[in-house]
Amino acid sequence: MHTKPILGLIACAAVASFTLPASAAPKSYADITAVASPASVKPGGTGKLVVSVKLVNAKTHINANKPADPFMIPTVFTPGKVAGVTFGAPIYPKAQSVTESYSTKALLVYKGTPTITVPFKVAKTAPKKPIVLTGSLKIQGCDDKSCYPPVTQPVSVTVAVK
Amino acid sequence: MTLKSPKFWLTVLLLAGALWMIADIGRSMSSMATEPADADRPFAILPADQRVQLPDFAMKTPDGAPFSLADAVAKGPVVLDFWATYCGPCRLELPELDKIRQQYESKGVQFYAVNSNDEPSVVQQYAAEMKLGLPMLIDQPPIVSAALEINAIPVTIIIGRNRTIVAKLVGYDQNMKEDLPLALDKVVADNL
Repeated sequence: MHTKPILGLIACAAVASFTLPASAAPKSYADITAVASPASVKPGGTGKLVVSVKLVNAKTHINANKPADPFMIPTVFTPGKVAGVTFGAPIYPKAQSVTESYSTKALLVYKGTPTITVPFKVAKTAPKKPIVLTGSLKIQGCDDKSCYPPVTQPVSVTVAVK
Repeated sequence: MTLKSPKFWLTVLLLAGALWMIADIGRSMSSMATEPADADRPFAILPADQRVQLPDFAMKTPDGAPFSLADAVAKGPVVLDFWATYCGPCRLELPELDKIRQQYESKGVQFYAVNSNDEPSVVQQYAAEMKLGLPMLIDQPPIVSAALEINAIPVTIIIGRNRTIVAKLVGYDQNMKEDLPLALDKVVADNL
């Protein structure tokens, strides 16, 4: 008589009766970082401020800059007022069209690690010393079952002017 | 293999164990279908020693009228549902909750949808457009949400006697439609 099938059955039953603990919700669903490219700029020169949003969970999305649903809170970068620096309009990534289990229409969102690029120009008269580029990023994310409150996170990056 | 063989009796023992476990799983699944006793299901009734007592939270209606949790709980069980217009899962859940409200208000259960994000006028307008009879409350600044450590919505809680949280659901779950009424039946029947 073969006992292996019986032992396999017992193992399956034991696994089936085991209850997994609920996973703890992450403290933050998005890690926001920013860099300047290039890291140093001449007076009168230009560069880009690149803001990245790393979404911790693959199921999580943030709304696109122009979401399809008027109730959705868009991703918006607002440049700060920095003496000797002029910011251009932020360039947002291409939105993905997704239909979540709770939505009847497709949503326009960003998933993964979307990046927002903000061109900037340093004034010709800017002194040759580091300047701090500032701004703030507003995001609001959801996963397949929950939504997180909107957050506005300050962003600052130091650029050398030389 | 004979009756005197240890291998035979070992096999019988293993077989009996397997059958017992399968039967036990069957009983558990049957139980899940009739009452929200499984902790993985929405609105599992919390054991008495895990029920947190809430302070007497004060909120307002969109019209600015005061709301006292203590006053509400004195009249019967209270269901609070935390939501916002930006929350797709919440917007799916609200009409389902409103249907359950229509069944349970006559049993003394009070339902409130709590909003910590939108302007009160937007809340009123949304409720009217969606034809929701569910009473709305405004928690701004979000004192109650913060005290309950609500980091994501929807969150639905059942509050019983003495302002204790009897059951809770975090996030949207399609089983809510079945499990919330079952939990409320128990809360009402046992006067929890």
